[in-house]
Amino acid sequence: MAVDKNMPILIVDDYKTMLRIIRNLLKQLGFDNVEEATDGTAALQKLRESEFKLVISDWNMEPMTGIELLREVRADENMKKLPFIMVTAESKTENVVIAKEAGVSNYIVKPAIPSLCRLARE
Amino acid sequence: MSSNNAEKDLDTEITGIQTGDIQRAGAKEILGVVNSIIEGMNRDIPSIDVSVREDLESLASFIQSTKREILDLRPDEISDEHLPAASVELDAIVHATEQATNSIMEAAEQIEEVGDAVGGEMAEKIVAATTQIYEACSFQDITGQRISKVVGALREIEEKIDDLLGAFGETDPSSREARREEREKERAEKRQDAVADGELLEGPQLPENAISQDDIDSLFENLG
Repeated sequence: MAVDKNMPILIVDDYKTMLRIIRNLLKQLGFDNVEEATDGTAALQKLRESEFKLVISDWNMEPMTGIELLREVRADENMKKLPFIMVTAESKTENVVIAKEAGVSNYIVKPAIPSLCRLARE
Repeated sequence: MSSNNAEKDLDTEITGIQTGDIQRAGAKEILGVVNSIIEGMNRDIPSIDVSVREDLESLASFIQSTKREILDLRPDEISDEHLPAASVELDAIVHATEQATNSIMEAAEQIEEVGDAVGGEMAEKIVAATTQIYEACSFQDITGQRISKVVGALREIEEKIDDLLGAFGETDPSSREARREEREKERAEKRQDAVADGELLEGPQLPENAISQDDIDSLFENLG
């Protein structure tokens, strides 16, 4: 199935540089319709205001972390099937298991950007 | 001082330690007990074995000299000046690397625009190269998180030094408690609504402790 390159994507990270990196990588892959949020709370607000087709989120943010955002998303009837990729520096098995249990679609450890590109292409 | 008074003083010193946190009994308290014992011996039990009394006096002298030596190291300077200065320097590193990363990113974006204008095979090569640059730039995020860990460790050291100063009676318990509460308040403000999941957040792992992306992919598949 052809990927809709115009699909709206929300990227969430408290490091502005990281947001810029992910945005540029998505642009290279042809995805231009990208919105940003710097924490889980702001992201959740955007997700409730507009329709997104993919969320790429960091875990370690304040006040609302990426895992809390994921749980909120999965608890929302309208967003429970929304693809959600966690891109984080948290590389312990425990984190991966918890994210998986919370319903994450994929888990990428920074700086594994090539994996993100591969996923975006898929 | 009568025998009864000496005993009372000793009892008071020991009870003071026992009713407090015995693990945290400071040099001051221990020295107080030792001195009470010596005083009791001098005044009330003159026939006691001289060697025991000498041992106790030597112990009191040792505690005093250790206290003096540690205080000569000026641990108050470490917690009041050096550690805060180190935290400021680390913050400056984060800021500087952020600025440098943004400059690199801007340059890479301009190169990418040139690639778009050129087109063809050359454009593909430029995209591949700029992708590598973007990936390398994510070091700023990783180093930022690692530095945050170091700042956290510095805070712990600061508290241990406070405890040490308190144990030697160099700061009064109420001011120590006030400083601690102030620090806790600052941390709480930073953490804001810290959640249970926060315990999981340890940031980047050292290579020997980290699991690879391949391991994660495999784990992810196994988890179904």
